[in-house]
Amino acid sequence: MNRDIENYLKEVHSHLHLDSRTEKKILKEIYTHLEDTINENENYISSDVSYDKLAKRATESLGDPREIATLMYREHSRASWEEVILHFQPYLLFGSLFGFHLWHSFVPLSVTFLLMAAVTFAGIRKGIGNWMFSWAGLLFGGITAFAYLIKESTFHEIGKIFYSVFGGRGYFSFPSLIGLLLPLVVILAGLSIVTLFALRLLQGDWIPLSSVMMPLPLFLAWAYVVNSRAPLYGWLSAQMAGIDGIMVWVFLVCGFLSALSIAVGVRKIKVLTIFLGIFASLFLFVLRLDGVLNLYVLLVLFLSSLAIVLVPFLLYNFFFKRTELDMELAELPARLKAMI
Amino acid sequence: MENSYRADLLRGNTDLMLLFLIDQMKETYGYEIIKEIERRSKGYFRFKEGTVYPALHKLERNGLLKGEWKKRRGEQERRYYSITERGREVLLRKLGMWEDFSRAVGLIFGNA
Repeated sequence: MNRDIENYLKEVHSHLHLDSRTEKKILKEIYTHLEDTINENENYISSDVSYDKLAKRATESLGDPREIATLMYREHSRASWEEVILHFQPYLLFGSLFGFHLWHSFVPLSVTFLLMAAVTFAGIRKGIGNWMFSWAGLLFGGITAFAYLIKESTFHEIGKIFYSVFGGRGYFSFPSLIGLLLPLVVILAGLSIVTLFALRLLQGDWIPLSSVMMPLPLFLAWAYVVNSRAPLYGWLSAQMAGIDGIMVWVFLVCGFLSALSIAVGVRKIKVLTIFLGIFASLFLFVLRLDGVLNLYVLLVLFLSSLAIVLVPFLLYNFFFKRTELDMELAELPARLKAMI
Repeated sequence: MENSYRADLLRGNTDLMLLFLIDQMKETYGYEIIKEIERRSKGYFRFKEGTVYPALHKLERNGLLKGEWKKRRGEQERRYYSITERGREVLLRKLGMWEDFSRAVGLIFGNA
């Protein structure tokens, strides 16, 4: 296969950063264009012009491969307004859970997690849309936060079962086993689904994973505060209800900037919006909580926000980035098959 | 300066030209569209061919075009584009605006 065409397609591919299905369609269309150009020029140009020269001319007339890839990325990564609204929904849902103080009620919380898990699972099975990032992200953040909150009672239950089995003490009861297993199953199932989702995302790009991870620092900050202050104030105290009120605003800010990040098609702006979304929501949470912000706290907020951008970037570049065209051969024209 | 002005004019009207041509040609593909634009404009519009595809994908994502992979006898498989009902509505609206605009410019230049 001609080296110029191969290099051209590789160059486009390396800057596309889209899901593999879309990338394949784009590369195939560009390839057929090159073929058409070569075929037509073969008919008009004298036979002493080699195929290699025709291929070089065809790639030159198609233009800068990086520019094409950037324009294609812009078109395919930019969400429609319907997708933006869908993306914002889970933030509204969690905002409502906190606004109506329902997050400690079993049924609304379970229904919310089930809904988010269903959407995330559907994304893995049927193809991931931009709007699904927030559903997977809030499932991940929410489950991690609740796992953190129930860690002590979980360890306590495990200890009781351990003693009843190995120590011969009569602590063990069936309801306590169910009470232990149910949250563990929910947490493990939820985290497994999100992990599969994240692995699928990393096949194409790292920015979507940053978008998924956006609510995580916020949830962790909230879980830390609740864990340390609930015993002090009481679970149903006015102070605890006040924290719920703060979370409503924080979810709205984070959701707005998260939705903005999928609405734009320029990579740098996407990253900046994700970073700002994390930083702004954490900043708002800390500021409204105690009204005290010092340099140390600001530095922690900055580093947390940076980590959510940097971790997916490093993961992708070290473990997932593909330098070769590894598309499904069966879907490509014969000449492209020969090329790979 | 002259080239950038021409590029600006082209950029502002690419969607209109693509929709118009695809509507006239019923079902066509990227390469054919590019050649048709060059032929009809007598070579005036010569642009980087690769930029047409993102424009086609944008129109498709906006529901104004429909793209389908098809293989016609004796030819290679290609992605063919056709205009949708919504695309035709947008085309008519944009054509109306274009006619009003060119008439107004003509009035200013005194050659209407």
